[in-house]
Amino acid sequence: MFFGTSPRISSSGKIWLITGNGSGSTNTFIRRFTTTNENTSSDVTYADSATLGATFTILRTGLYNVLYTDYNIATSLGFGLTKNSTSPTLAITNAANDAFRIVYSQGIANNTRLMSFCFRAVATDVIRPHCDLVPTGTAAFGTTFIIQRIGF
Amino acid sequence: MIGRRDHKLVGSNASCVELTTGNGRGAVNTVIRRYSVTKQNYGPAMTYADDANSGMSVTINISGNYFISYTDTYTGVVNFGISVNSNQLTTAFTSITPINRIATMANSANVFAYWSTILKLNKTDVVRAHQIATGTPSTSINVNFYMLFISE
Repeated sequence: MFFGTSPRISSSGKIWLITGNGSGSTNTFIRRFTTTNENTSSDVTYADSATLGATFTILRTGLYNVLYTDYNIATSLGFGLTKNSTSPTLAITNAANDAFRIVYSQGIANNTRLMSFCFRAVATDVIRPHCDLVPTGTAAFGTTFIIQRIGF
Repeated sequence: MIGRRDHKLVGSNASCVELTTGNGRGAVNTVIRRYSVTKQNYGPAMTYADDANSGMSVTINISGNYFISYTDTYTGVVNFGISVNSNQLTTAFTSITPINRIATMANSANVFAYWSTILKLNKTDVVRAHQIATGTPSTSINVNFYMLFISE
């Protein structure tokens, strides 16, 4: 039974990364990951660059969910997501990123923190895992990033 | 074909409330958070209100599933979270009637804690960012309250 004009919920795979790999050498606050567990999304393009860090470019407008866990070894780590940041060389907490920051969390040293966040994005938006310092956590179990489109 | 138990996606009822920058708590409702900046407030599904006495509240206009996140910090360790339809607006979050208290979280001192869930809410439900009456709440721009209407 259809609910009037209700659209079908999209399910077109996901991007699932694990194992922290520092950050970009130019974009020093943008996280990188070593291992791609799954890259089956037709809605998002994942790119990783040694200089720029990880980027997730939205191909299809809609409702997205990101699960992101991270930690730092020696000190607390602030981390989250930015959308279309024009200041990826600056910390997520820098005032230059206030308008682009869509979620933020923080964990104490050696403590993994999890965020799960739903948001709307439009085609060409660029999502970045964005930190407040150069992150040092590398454990596969403690550094995870999953992005998937969940609806219109 | 969509089954009877599938959810109707929000379509033209797309709605979001996002508040940032802590602004103390209500003068009368002494445990209810306030915010200085309304970053997003659109759509018919929710009504956001804020005043100096009552603090913030979000009233649900359309029954359905909502994504909620709440980020906050204190100089000490504090329990806080989201209440629904609470009338104990001067009582610490951990002591209010359990049926009104959605899950509690605690921050580490001077570290941000992030809370999120998807919750089924009914029309006329009132959602509040609920904490304690003691201590000075953070005025950081990273203090955040976010609600997104996902599906009916």
